[in-house]
Amino acid sequence: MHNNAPIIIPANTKMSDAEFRRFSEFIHNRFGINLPPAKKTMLISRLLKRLRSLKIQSFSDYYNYLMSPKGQKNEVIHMIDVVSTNKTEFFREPVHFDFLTNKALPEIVSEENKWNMRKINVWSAGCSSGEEAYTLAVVIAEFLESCPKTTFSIFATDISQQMLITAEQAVYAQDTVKHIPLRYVHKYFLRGARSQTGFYRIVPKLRSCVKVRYFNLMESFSLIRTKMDFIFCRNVMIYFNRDTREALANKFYSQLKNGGYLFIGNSETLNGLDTNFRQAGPTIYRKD
Amino acid sequence: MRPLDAQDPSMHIMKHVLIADDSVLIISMVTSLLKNGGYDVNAVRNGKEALKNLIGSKYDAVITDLHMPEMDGVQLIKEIRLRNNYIPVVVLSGIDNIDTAVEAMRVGADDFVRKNTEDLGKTLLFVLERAIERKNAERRLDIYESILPICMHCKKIRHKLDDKKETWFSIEEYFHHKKSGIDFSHGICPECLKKHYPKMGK
Repeated sequence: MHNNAPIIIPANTKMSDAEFRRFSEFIHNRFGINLPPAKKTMLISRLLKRLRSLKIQSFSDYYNYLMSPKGQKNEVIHMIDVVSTNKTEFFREPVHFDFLTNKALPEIVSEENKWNMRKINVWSAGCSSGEEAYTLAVVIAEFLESCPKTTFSIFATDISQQMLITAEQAVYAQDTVKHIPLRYVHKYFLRGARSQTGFYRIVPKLRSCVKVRYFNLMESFSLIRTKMDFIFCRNVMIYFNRDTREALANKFYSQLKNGGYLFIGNSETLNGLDTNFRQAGPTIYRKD
Repeated sequence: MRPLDAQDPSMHIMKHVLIADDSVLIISMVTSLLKNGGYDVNAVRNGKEALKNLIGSKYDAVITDLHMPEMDGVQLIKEIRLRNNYIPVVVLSGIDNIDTAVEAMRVGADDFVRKNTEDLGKTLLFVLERAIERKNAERRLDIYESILPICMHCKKIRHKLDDKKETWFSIEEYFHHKKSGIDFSHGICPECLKKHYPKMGK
């Protein structure tokens, strides 16, 4: 019954500009996500899912529910789930992965020191459904093939519960796997059988290197004890305004080891922000 | 969905749920979802720990993953059913083990929810509540359909605690003790009224 509940279309699907402002202010204050008026259509279509699910008739009723103590407790998490959900794919913006293999990883592991014990820590901040985190796992596992003393761990975080579960399950449809070089698919993916035909799952060995957790980038990083070698935070900052971006970039800076790298999306930049990063390539920044 | 403040007085007591899952993410997520839904939650990382926990204390329901180290979900359900037929067990299945979820149902799980269900919290609360109600109904039905040894003189009913111990309850006490859902109110039938209060009967 829970899977085929009738779809009830809310009676009033109009959102006034004032209502839009109230939603976007709340979302900005709580999650730092910037929603300019151009995003109104997107917000409407995504919030409608919640109105249907809750059988609420209008956006103003939904706003009131969201602000009520019950809504604050139960609904905020679902609201941000639908608002923040972001498309992603394997090997997206491949320049970054080439940079890892050719420059960043050799800086840590070289022919001379490859028999030393060490652990490489990577953070996929805003991991969505996990494609970036597992791409990183594939790239790093490939690089470390001849360095058995070096292990690695990928910390994948997001604010969407739905996405986090998908990321931890690590099951992907055939369609999404097609961006991955075939030899990697054979090596790092298990092909589903019977009821799982058409799906691929990351091999357990690689899955165990990825820790998926809920984390809101607006919060203090003091609970994250691990210093990172690399931080990937791509196509997340586009949602944030300048001040939030600057604060976040500086928090990433403190979370990196010396010599660590921050990778951001190819439509993003740290230009004009007050940080100590040195640019090491397009959308790649180094903590010297 | 039945609201929590329905007529049944037992619904007011906070229900205690045990979760067994090896994923820290799922445990923290489901714990907060259930706590928001008014449940008291305890979490363990595998079937063996779950069984150990269940033997010592009283739970109203169990939620279990299928793939776990030490003891997996299907084995856990089998062990639970060897000991207790009435505790509701809901399976939380990953996308990769729908086939195992079917097997879990066969060995005694009451329902299953896929982890990647949209709105996991709402679905899980609904399924859990339904499983608890169903198991409760099943337990009550077993009481009504059983043969009760009754004292031929005082009409007390025998209740076996184990093979050696037994107690005898009055009918009222017995149905109350068994949480049968039957309540008694004291009245008087016309014959007894005539016999004991001859003046009032007229």
